[in-house]
Amino acid sequence: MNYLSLTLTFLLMVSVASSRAAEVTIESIDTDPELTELEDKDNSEQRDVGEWHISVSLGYGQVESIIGNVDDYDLYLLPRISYYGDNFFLENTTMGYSLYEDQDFYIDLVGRLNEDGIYVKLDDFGVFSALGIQPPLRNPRLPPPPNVERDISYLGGVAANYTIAGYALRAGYYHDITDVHYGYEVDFHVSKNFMLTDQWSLYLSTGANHKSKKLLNYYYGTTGLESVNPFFRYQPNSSGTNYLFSLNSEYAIDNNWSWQLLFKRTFLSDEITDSMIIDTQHTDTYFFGIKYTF
Amino acid sequence: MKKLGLTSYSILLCVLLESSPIVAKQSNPWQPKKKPENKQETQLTITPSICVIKEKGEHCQQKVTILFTSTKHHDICIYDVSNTEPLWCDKEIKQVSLDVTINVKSSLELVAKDRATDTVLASDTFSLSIFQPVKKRARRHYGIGIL
Repeated sequence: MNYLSLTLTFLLMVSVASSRAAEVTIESIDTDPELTELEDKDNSEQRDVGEWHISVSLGYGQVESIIGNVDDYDLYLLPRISYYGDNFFLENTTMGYSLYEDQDFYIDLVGRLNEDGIYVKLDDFGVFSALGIQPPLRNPRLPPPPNVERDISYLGGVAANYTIAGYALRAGYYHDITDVHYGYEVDFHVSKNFMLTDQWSLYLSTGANHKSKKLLNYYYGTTGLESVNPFFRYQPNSSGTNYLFSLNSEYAIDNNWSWQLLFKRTFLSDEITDSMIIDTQHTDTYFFGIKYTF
Repeated sequence: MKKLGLTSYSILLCVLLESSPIVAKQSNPWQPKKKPENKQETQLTITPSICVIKEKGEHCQQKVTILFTSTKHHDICIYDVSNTEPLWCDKEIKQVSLDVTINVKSSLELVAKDRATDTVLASDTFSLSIFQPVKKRARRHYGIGIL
């Protein structure tokens, strides 16, 4: 015997032996639905919030020194670390806090290492030494300039990123927050990630990095005392702009292992190459190896 | 002490002999245990049992199969627990499969009750879950300065 509910519309055809179509409309129960987390398709251009990404690459690479009397730096080990919280993020030596972020646009407060300090301090850069990378050997044919001391600086500023048609456009302003040179940088980058196959990714980036006169003068200016000949001294008379191009290609072997190729070329500004301690127009950094992601 | 006669000894011996296997049977840990009665002799199953919605308050319209199975025949009614009126009733049911289309805004619990005793024979829940993707953020691609 069938009953019709007052609150439910119930139209049902029943068979003990076989099922038949029926239509039921049932009013909802006054309870909250449970939450179910479902994974999106994996995207290498995005990071899960709250997860650490740690990887170590073993291979060979070099950081080409721009200082005349310092040899190129050999790389055998390349660690990488990143963490993304709800607003905070850490990516290698850069950390930041997002003031605003949606799918295509974000504004970050950013703290990052100044690369000029790394180049100048390449011969005794503590991070590399701590990682077990061999210290560079000085070229015995070129005596080092006496009493050239420069400190590494850390920059703080704001960066904005806008993604359009798969291209990420990023612009930022960063000022010295370590009272080393009191200078600043303004940069602009365009980048895009290509998935060549399911396993093979290629990340390309190009950009410009404008450095203030104070920053250039601190790292690349020389006084009479610092020059081999006291009559030769150098002070950049303006700010300058470096241009760069970089690629990062990875071929995944499985979930943890992948081959990795990194290359970066930086074209130095005239204000840098005019310095007496600089002996190149551009500098290359590259690394090829196998990467293990924990 | 009063002496017991031969008949009394015989009766006592018989009682002891008869009762010992019972005692042994009860205390023997190696004795195979009797199988417990199947508590799932009556089942109510809603298939599929979950509907995923995008946001709270959204309706879910879903075609489901309600399967009632029992080892015995029952006069049953199927109820939505939030309502006193039955959704469906029938007599002498041992197994029934109902194809129904439901339109709900929240989770739904159905029970199968014995009409004679008004006891719950079985129940199942059709759950609504809100789709909540794992939160992700855009990768910044900051290196270590020189790389």
